[in-house]
Amino acid sequence: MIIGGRLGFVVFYQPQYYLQNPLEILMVWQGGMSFHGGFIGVAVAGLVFSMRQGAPLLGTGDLLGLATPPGLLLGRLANFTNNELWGRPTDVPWAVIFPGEAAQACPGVEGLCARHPSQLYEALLEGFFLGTLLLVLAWRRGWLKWPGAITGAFLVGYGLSRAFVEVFRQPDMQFVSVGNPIGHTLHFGNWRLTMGQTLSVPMILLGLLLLWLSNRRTPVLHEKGQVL
Amino acid sequence: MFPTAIHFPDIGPELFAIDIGTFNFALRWYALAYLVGILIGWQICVGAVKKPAFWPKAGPPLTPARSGIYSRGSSLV
Repeated sequence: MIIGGRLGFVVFYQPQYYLQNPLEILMVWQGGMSFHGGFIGVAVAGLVFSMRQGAPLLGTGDLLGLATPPGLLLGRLANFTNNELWGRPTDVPWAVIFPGEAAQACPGVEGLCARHPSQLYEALLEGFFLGTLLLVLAWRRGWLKWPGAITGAFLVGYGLSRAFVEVFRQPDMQFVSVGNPIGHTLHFGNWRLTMGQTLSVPMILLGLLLLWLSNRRTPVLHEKGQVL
Repeated sequence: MFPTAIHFPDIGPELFAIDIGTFNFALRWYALAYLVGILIGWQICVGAVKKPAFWPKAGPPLTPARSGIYSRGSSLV
């Protein structure tokens, strides 16, 4: 999780900087982790684990999906208390005045600058609501009988939550330029996506595929002892 | 400009920091979030794996053990 999270930040968010300062990749205490990188790291570890242990892949994924939201909830709360990864400037009544030069650098705003507490939106959506939904699906709706269904619900739920909150979150400084004040990464005509949204698209697609596949197969198929 | 904005509750990134000789040890909220998050996730897995009725007839992907969970196939490895 930590190796993937760190490498994801290096590759997706700061590739040029770390190419010039490769030793700083190891300096984890200076900050810089990426959820999507951590996710890939956990997926690879889960794959190796289940193959070596002879455990069914999708069932193992379902357990990992159930296990993840509490950590997301706490991690996003820690982003908030750390005064990092805050949202875009706004005047909603619950806007928060984050301290520090970076948080107060708001183009066109005079005096104190307030921002969306987008870390708390993420804690609620990808942590509390997604976690509650998955527990209800597993404990009350029997979704664990269809291997891959909980994994698919986690992928779609996380991807949608993250892509939605990115609308309120301030992308990292390195993405912002004069012609790109918000810091979008991808442009498709009128569609502009942040890095967090770009990385969530394949997650959502994979999740939909898993939901479709797990819904198609009957639980009986699973009893014949195939690996998936 | 922002008459109703909320001031940031400046809790700081560390719960506490202690000096052991010249070495400074700090427990940060972010590290605690990872630790507690993994522990809660682990307990959810243990809870799910202990309920055979949740799973296909072949059973859960991992089997419960007294000290946590280990793989159904681990005895073969």
